[in-house]
Amino acid sequence: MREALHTLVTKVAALIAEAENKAPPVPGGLLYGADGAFDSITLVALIVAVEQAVEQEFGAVLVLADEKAMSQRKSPFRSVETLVEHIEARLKENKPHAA
Amino acid sequence: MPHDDAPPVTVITGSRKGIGMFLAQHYVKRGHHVIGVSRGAADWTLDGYTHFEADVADEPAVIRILREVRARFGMIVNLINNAGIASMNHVLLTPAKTVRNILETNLLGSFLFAREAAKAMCERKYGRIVNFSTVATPLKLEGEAAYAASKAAVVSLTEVMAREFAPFNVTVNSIGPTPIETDLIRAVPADKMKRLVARQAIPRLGTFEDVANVTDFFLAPESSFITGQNIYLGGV
Repeated sequence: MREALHTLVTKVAALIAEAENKAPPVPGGLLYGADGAFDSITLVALIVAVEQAVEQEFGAVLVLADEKAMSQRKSPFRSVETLVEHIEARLKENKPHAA
Repeated sequence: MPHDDAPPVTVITGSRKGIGMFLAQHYVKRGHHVIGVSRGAADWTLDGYTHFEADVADEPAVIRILREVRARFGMIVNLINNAGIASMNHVLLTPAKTVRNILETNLLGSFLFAREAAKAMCERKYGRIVNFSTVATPLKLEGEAAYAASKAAVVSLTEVMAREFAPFNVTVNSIGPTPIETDLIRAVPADKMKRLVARQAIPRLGTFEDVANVTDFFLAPESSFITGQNIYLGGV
């Protein structure tokens, strides 16, 4: 599942980057912040688009910015890899509306 | 509005009766597909109108409904956060549960619908959100402390959301109606209502048409440069 999620998130991130005339995030690189690929607004757009893509591909309705995600010391949105881990954990927890 | 052959999808909360029902029928007549949401079933139907039953403060229900709308209709163009409750009572006689219920329906409900609708709007880079405030806030209406405070919060929510959603071409505005003949004011004594209306620049009860006139303006594609604004009816 992780590989499929990684492909999905990378693809969505590339589409968002293209729409915003930005370079796509590099593997292992930060999604946001001073050295990140995206600004905060583009990151919001990415998270919304990823939620929709996960729903289409996996039939799971997730709210990725849930309480658990927002209270973590290290944001799950800092890289493609951590975002993939976060989505995978949410899918395994099978808590589609947890927020 | 992005050019599309399909009718624009307009979500209206509190559509079972009163202002919400009027607005739902008004926008169906204007060619919109209206999605109505209320706690109970609607006792009226119309081609171009789809009704969902839910509490607007029930987060899983709001998510489910708006994702279903997006899946079925492919878009959400407009959201009118009309659902609201009031409770006329002196602060000293108001239970915490009443305050909590008012905040949940008026503030949390508006927040949840705006958040989930905006996700669909962001995708198309177009959207219009209209929230409901009230003249009870600027008139500092005694007996409506929790209601007035909840709607003050809705104005604040409108102003901040307007800025956060602007990069996605989603506008957020609010309308503050004067008293209108609805269930919401039926319990208010006549002399109190008379004194309240007298404080307006134009001292009369509002009408559903007065409200629709403002929502029409906020929803218009031409209103793309109007956001974060609150319009009170009656010159309050």
